[in-house]
Amino acid sequence: MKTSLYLLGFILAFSTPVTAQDNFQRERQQMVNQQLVARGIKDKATLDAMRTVERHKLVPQAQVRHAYEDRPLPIGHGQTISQPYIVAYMTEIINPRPGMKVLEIGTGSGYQAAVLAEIVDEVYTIEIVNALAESAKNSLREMGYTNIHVKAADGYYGWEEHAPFDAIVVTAASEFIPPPLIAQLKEGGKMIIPVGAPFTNQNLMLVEKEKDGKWKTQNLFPVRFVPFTRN
Amino acid sequence: MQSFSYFNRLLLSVGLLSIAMIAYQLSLMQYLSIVQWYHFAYMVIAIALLGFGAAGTFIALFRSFLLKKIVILLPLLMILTGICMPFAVWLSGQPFARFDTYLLFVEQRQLWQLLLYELLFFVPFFFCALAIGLVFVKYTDTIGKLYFSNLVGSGLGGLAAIVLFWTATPTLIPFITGFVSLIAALFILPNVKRQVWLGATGVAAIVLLGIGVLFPPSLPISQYKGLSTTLDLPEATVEKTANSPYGWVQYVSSPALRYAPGLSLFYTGEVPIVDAVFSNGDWAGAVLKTPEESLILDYTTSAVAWELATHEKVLVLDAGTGIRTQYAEMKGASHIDHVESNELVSGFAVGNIGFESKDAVTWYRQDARSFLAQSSEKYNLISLPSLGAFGGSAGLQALQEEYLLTTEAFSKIYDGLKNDGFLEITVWMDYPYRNSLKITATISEVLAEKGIHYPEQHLIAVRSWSAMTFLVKKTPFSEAEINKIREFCERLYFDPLLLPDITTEERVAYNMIEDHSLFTLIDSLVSGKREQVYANYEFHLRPATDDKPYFSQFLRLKSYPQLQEMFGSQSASFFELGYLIVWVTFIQSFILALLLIIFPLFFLKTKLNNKGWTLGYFSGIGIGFMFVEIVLIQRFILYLGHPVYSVAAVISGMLLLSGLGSWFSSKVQLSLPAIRKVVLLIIGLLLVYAVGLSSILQASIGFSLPLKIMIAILLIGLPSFFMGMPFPLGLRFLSKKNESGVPWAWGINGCLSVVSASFATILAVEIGFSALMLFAAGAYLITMLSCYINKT
Repeated sequence: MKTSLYLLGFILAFSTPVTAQDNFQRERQQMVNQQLVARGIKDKATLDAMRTVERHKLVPQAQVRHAYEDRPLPIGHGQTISQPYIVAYMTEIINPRPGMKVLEIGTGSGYQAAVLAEIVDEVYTIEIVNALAESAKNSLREMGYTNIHVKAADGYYGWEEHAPFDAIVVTAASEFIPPPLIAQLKEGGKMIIPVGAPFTNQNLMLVEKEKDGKWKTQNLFPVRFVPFTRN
Repeated sequence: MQSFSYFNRLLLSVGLLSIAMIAYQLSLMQYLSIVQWYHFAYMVIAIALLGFGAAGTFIALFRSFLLKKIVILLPLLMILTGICMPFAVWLSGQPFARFDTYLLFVEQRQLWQLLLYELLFFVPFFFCALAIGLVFVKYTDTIGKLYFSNLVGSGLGGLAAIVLFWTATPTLIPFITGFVSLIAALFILPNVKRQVWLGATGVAAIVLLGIGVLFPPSLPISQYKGLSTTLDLPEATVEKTANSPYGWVQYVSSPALRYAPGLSLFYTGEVPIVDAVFSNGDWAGAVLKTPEESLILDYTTSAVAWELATHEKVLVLDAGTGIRTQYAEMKGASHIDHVESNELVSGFAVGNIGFESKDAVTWYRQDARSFLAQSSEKYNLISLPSLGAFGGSAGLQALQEEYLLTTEAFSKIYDGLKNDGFLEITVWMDYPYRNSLKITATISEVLAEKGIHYPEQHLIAVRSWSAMTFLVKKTPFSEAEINKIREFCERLYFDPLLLPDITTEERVAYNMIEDHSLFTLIDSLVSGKREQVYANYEFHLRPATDDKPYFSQFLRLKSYPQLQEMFGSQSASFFELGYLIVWVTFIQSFILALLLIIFPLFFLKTKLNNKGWTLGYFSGIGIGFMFVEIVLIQRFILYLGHPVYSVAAVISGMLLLSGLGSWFSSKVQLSLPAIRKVVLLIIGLLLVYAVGLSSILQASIGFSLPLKIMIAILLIGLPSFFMGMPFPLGLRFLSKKNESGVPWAWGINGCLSVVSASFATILAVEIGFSALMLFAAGAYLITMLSCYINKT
């Protein structure tokens, strides 16, 4: 009897995490199908990355059970982790490919960096809030990412040593686009910025550096939020 | 002699307690505005009144026991009130109780934390109301004098709060009001073991004040407020802090703070590092280190006004930290009027800039509308502050009265322009489009009112990736000016938004937008198809007026389900968070108020007569008084030039004069016909006010401040004097016929006041202040009609 109990305990102890992992994997798969594919995310590399990155490991403990829900989540310091769809949309729009070098301004939880790191060669990410930078750095290291470089610094200056970048993802938008960032983007490169109050992310701004040195911006409304048509 | 003396001490004690309670209530409104947002002012009013309602219920249920122990209970309740005032504030900042507005629609547990939050602040109000209620019930025969003491004390409490805002920190004030409550208790200590009571109360008072001064609690500011996120920046330090009735202002510096709103992508230079001023934890403006740094604005859409001409005489309204003033000076303006009412916001900045010493700049420490009413100057350029927030706001401005953005304000501004003068206003892009459309509608309506037949010749706009600037000119824009605007856009990668004969391609040359309805809607608004747009658009776009000065209130409730469908329920909530919070407060208080009225009725069924009269009579007074108070506060914001002065004048004026009315009521014959006459007089006055108050105020808004204060006292005092009578008259009448109904009546009055505080705000947004005054008259009509169903 005693031996049976031990055996049962052993089986439970080792099977529970596996079951939890299965659950998260299932949730992730559902997230991709229901929140991303259904809303028009098509890029295979982006979808594969979203299927792979363990979002639940990058949210605060209290938010783990909501990790794959269709909404942004609070991560402290007045910051949020964007909803999965926005992360996928921002990833897809810069058309990431192997061999690329991407700069991210505003590491936050580290989730966007992780998704990019699944596709491109190197991700350089800068976070101005020290505590968030440290937490993201630790989580990403524990998750085994070696191609993500986290720096706690003012994103205004970009990361000149590693410039120019094929794309820049600004996850913490400000009232202006810092001139150094503009300078550190390759010609033909793209910069994407979400614009909106916390928990809203109503639209995205795409900035393109054209070959003639001119700039164009485009206000994008993610597919989920169909253009606000009216009578 | 002994009893006379005790009664006098009681009057003094009730007065002191009332001073403490109102000062505490007002300080709590400021405290919650700092740690959360100002919408919690409504919550505080509701909680305070709910405390009064609940105390009425409690007395109704345990009346005989409470009255038997009144000698001990009264000082004890005052002591508890005093201790709970700061204790509630301290507890509310602890992690288990801390809640955040932003998370209210994101995390379910926040709803429970909000309830706990409210409960914590409810306790001191409940104890205070229990003490005052017991006095009223015990000494109903002298209710007029006691009510007088209560109201006069409350009125003085409003003034005391203003003094405290200037002299004490937000966290110290609850300790001071707690101290005053303990002093109130000292006047009515029981004779038995008096020395023990005296010692304990004295020590408690000293300890309380000592803790407040030496170990004040910290302010648990929401992580989503501008001050919190700024203090997270590297090397961010608070350089200066000051408190005032205008708000708690902080001056912050950090090497990571920069200023270049909507900067052109053409710009490749340095962006200036700035300091920042915050008011109640919200961003109030950047402070430049040198005037030259303001030239960064050359690379923003707002520079378009200076592209067309050098403006000699400039008016900067709501000038804040003075950046637009500095820019005008750098661009060569020789006469600049800098109008800003918040002394601390401009004052902190002025300390750095020193522009007051310059001949070109004159600082007017007054509200923009008061300035416009009094000034007869004509300007080459009138500059308004930027509208909205980068990326769109979460609708937290929705219930802010914005008297500078009404059609009446724009009409005044237009009149203040020279013939070739310009009006300039920059609007942040938002989506779904709201601010840009409403400002276009407002300007177009004003132009139409001024007899401009071709508004497209007088209104132009340019757009960057994040902002748009509108320029209005009295005379039509010339061909040369239009060409200059096109060159300006081409140079800085901006796009014209409104120009004569503009094409869609031209509008998106550099900054494309996916939803082109912005263009068709703006064109419709300018071309006169405004009513059609107002009717069909999912958001409220009809321009704000002085009667409904809620420019940023865009939510149309009937569109809300559709918005939820399109944007998701959570995102939709964030379009108009402020308005939704008031609805949440209203529904919450409505449920609680019902419980508090129904509950005692159920238990006291056998003892009460004339329930219909009691319910109708005291409900009408509760609703009517609160409606009038809210309308008067709103009307006098514009008249006196600042919400703080308005709240102080109206609350203090109404309570003091109502107190006098209450005192005088003891001379009124106690009969239903006499009461009906008093109420009829109130109804008549309110009807006159509904129709004529606005005109009187408009006619005299340009008078000097002392004269305006006298007019304000007269206008506030007249109805208040009579409105102070029905409550004590009703209570006296009730106590003669059915004494056990007195606490219940008091509870009804309190509960209905709770509901009507937030309901009045909703009505003001939906139907305007004049109509709200009519509703107030309607509420008193219920009071009057209820007298006909009294069977005694």
